[in-house]
Amino acid sequence: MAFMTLAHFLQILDRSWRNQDGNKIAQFMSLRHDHAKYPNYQVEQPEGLVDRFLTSPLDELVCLHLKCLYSISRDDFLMAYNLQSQLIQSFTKILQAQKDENWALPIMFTVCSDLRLIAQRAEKQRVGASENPGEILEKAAECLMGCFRVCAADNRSAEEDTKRIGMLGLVNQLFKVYFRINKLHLCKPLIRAIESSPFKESFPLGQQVTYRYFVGRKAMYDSNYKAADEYLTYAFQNCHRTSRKNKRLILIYLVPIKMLLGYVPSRYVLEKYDVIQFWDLVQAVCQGNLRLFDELLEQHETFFIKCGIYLIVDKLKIVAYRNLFRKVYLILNTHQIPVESLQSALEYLGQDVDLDETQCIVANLIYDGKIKGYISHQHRKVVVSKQNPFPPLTSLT
Amino acid sequence: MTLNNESERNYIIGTCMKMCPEKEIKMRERERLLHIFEIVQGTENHPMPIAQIDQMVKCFSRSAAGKFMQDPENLRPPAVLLETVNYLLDNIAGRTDVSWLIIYDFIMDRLRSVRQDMVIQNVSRAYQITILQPIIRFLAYASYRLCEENVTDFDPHINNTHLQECLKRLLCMYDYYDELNDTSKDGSGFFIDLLKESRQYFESLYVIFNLGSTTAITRAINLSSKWRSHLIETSLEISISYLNGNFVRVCKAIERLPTLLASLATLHLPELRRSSFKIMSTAYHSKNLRYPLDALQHLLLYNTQDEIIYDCKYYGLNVLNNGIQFSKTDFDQNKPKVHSRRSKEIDIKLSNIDISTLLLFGE
Repeated sequence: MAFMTLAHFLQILDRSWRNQDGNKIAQFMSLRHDHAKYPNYQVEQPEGLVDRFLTSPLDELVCLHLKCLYSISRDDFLMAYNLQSQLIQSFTKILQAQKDENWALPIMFTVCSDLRLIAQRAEKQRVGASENPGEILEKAAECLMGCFRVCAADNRSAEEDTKRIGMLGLVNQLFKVYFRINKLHLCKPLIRAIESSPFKESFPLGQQVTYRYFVGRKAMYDSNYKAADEYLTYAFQNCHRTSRKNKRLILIYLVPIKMLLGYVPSRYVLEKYDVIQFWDLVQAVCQGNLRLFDELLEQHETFFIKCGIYLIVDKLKIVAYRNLFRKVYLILNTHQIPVESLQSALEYLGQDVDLDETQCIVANLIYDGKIKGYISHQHRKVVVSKQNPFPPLTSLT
Repeated sequence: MTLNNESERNYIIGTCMKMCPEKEIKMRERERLLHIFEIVQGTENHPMPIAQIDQMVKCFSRSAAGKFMQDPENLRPPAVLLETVNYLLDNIAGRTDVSWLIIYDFIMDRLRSVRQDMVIQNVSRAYQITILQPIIRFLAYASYRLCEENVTDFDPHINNTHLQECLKRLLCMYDYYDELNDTSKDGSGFFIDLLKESRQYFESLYVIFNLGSTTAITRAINLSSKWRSHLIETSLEISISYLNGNFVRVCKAIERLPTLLASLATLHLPELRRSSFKIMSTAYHSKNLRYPLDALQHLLLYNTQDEIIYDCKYYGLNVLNNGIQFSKTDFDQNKPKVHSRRSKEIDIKLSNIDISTLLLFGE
């Protein structure tokens, strides 16, 4: 953006407001737009100048915006957060007053994601001031919920003017907050609101991708792997091909889920999206190499924990057990596998398990349908089915 | 502008220096609302029992619309709250002259009012931690000791709700000290050293209390490495094994836990055994084969074989010649888990420990 005096800037805002140019105003109200960096927009007391160019209700928003830029320039994110949340509260009232029009939605998206970003910075700066970590983000979420309610309640307008089309964008912002402060249970009512919305399929594709990404991750935490697979696959396939960073993020969750369901990712895809760390894991799981598996889990522990996939990667161990036991079965070439043989295989690969625990592991595999057969405790034998004793994992429901 | 430092001191500071406010003593004496633990000995049967003033403890009373909760004269400052907790756990919890149910009801109510005073005054984090830790030990101990009682006498659900609430509050306080990044001003460095001992214990208690919960597991694996003690590792191993159905490993590891944590873990056994039976009914499904009772007793930490036989019959499984006949069609999925049972082994361990010491100072 070329340099522009504040007066000129205000004139453009005024004209855009009259023309109902939501996109233009969104840019000029953004904390991430070029103008935010120029000191002439960072004003501590902008009321005098703003009042000369703008009328209500825009004047209040712009004053708060310029003050917010000022606070940011002073590195005072707590103040910036407070100003931005006041801005959204005023904006919510304006939005609610606009009947049968939705041109202001782009402004809403911009100021709302700015609030979230500012809240994150304020969280970092706050240390020690307030009681609970995550409190500022939680307050920010409440503020966004105000906007969400206005959008969700707009059910009288015609389809092309409805503010309900803005719901998904807000839900995605709220997801980002809830995932960050680890309050996933708060996602549930939002998901319900979207799933029951008549606009479910008409939201912009980009928003749908983000939405499916988060809902997929939530399903993963709830151990609902089939649903997680569906959502994340949609997100991966529909995410724009130039958004490699996002595609990579999706894959970090999709890969372990697919593996748990019995699919093996190709090395090519892992390399292409820079998640080659998974390749060794794929090898360990396919070979049933539990020693390597344990080593990798330890080696990449921080990465897995940071991404929130530690528990699901840990679950892949069950698939590795299955593959190892299948090998033992093929080597011994018998339908009555001694539990001892399975235990020595486990022990050989560094697992500290006795016969009872080995049997317990097998019992779980049989219960899950991953092995067809039964255990005889008296004979310490696993008797496997003559037909297809280790059905392919992908064939299980 | 609610987030700046100044707002923190907009709380009242109590001025009541006794465990019970003067007004309440008079009122409860007049209305004959004294608990037997609060009466001058020998006057219990009088038409108007006399209050033993130094043994009176403020009752819990629900905050309600129109009720003024913020009178400083009715609030006890943190030092007095701590003294109250000490009195209750030291002088009352170990009494043997009355049923422990009566002791529980009394202490539970009085501790609740301690927590209420603590919240209203928003006492310092160091105090909150010091007050909450013994309260949590008490609630955990009670949940085990009273687990065989009738629901009308002891409601495990209510007790657990309190325990969960106190734990979450405590964990929030811990998180705050994480953020301090050991920048020890005002002598908090000393306090952080004290925390090292107790924190890993209560973080483990949270994992064990919420066995198999991904939220609790995720919290523990995200803990900074300086808190990841042996005990936390064991608790995590138990909870993750529980999640993955490895009940053999769970039961083996429970025996390595400190007594109070082991007793909390014991409360999950009915659920664990139920799912073990469910899995085994499929995996050991056979008309001719039996699973020996003595092996299972040892595996699933049963006190006696009679208990296994009871459970098997309850879930619809047959027991013949000291062996269980597992069958996937016999196992009744719809039966809720059986009532909790105390563990003989843990009871013996607990009987050798002084309760007050355990609750006040931990193990």
